[in-house]
Amino acid sequence: MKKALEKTVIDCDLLVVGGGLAGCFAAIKGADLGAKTVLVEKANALRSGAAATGVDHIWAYFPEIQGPRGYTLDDLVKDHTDKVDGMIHQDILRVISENALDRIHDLERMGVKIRYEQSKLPGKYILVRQIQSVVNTLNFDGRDMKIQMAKEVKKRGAKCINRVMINDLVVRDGRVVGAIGVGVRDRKIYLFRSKATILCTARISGGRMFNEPGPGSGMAFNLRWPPSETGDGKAMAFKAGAELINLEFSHHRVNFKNFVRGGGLPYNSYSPAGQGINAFGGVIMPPEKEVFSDSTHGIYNAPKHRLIDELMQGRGPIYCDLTTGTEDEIQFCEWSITHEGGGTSLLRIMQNEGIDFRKDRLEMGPGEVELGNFGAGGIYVDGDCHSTLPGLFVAGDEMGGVPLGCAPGAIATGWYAAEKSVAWMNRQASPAQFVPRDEEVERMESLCLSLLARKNGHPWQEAQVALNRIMNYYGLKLKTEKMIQRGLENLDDLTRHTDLEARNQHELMRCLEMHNLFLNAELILRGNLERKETRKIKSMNIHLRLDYPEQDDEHWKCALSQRLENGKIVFAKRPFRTI
Amino acid sequence: MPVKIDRKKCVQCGTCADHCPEDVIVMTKANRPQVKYPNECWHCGACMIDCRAKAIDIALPLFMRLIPEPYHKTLKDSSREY
Repeated sequence: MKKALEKTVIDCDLLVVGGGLAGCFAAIKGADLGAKTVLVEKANALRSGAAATGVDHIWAYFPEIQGPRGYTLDDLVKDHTDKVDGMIHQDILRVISENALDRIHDLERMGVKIRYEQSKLPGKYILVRQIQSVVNTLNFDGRDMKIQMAKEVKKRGAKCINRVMINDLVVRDGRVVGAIGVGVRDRKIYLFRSKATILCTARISGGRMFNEPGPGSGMAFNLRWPPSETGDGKAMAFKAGAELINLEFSHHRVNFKNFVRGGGLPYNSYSPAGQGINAFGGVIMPPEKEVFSDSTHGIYNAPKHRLIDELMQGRGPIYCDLTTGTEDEIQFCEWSITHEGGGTSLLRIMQNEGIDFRKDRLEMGPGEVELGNFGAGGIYVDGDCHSTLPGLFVAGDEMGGVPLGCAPGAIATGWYAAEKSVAWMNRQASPAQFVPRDEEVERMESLCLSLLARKNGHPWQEAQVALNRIMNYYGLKLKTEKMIQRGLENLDDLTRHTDLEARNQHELMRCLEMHNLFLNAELILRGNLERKETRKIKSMNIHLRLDYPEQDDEHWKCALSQRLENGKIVFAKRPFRTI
Repeated sequence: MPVKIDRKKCVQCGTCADHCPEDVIVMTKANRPQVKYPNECWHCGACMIDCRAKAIDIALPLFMRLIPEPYHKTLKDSSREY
């Protein structure tokens, strides 16, 4: 006889799922507006999400700095739109541009250091050029900002529940009325009943979908983005009937060879000293000495695939080289790296090993596949961050169609989604209630109990390796109609033959993550099959079809949406200007 | 082991287990931190940064090692015999 799981019911006005940058700001704003707010986090909000151990840079519009140069907020929106070839949600981009600086000032009030005596700029900011053409990205002491934000969540009166994985949304009368989760460290089912829900559940960490794990490695989490970002939000939103967009897009990053870190290499946190060189000392990407002045290009758009071309043309290995920088420049880089996620680890490892940027170069290589950034797959929203499902709002990287929204996208839309969702719930009647004996709860409990009770089942790691093999081979560089269809057959076979076993609550979380990855994988492949073109952003492929090698703007300069209707996937095209 | 915890320095406060974003570290019944799921470590450094006793160091598995150029034997290297 299976022992039932204890059930806890938590009632609130606003439910925020995911406690990263977006989720913390959503909870803070929700509580400020007087809504009874609950933030649920799979890990611990003190150190969770993409910014767990920091962010060193946030772009924004600084009127006192860009204004006098004749660069308006409209210019910023247009500039960013051009950088992603128009493939961006205009309303949300405007929300980010208008609000990011206010949120940075909120961070300062929480105790985050953002101003520096040595700065000669108004406001004493240290700014660099990153994505847009102007110097509008704040470099700052962001290493511990998550700790400061999570403390602020509680201070403002929102309740924070850590170590609970939300797995399903509950819909009544076409409206999202709450969610069901399971304890990561306790044997419990959690029912959250809410008037509105905001998903702040991030992009998919590309490595968990695509990367080929090393043989015998036991699948170490050698990933740029948090390993716990497994498309949980996308899976639950899709199952509940919401539209998702852009899932077919992906691109390759350049990271440090072996240790998959170093976003923006050889620039961003590694500028102004960093340059990209080949095996013969040839400079492929010169140092961005002009990072402190305006330019016609953002350094994020620098053609990093030239580094990969260098390898293909026999001039590898390729290196990130800071050795030509001045001592001041290298110290600036080390400060940035300390505050960028994982950077403290990188510097500690270098110190332990006697490796120094002043004399040593570090090798770069093609890193993990990226499903966010330029691709920006996620849930489809309107200008109020409202999904196609009433009562379901979305913020941060979980929103589809906002390429390079990055950290400012998270902090600005988290806050904004809370404002809009509270205004929305105040116009609605009270939602229908659901109770522990309802069908969805029983289904969740029975799923968890079967995973926990199974003997001699598949460990989740085995399913992870199998999924990566399929996606890496059929879903990336060799895509044709036949190949993708074969990939779907492989995935169908995998899904039918996988009987996962969880020996405890921790493994139960990993098993549920695998289910979510499987569902996302299917949507990725189906999107790949449907989009019959090759799509590039600034000459970089974000979707390569060998059987449709040309970009087809006439039919495909749009987002492809997928949603579930009567058990079938329904596709639709959504224009970028007006989505 | 991706995370090395110095038992002599550890004050058994539980912060590393509490903060770990991947639920890799657990406290044992004897109230000692244990790296229970080393293959799931993200190497983010949260435990190391937040350890008040500075008892935690981070190390990379063999297949994730950073190898400098120009190549030199890093500090922990020992002599090699054929």
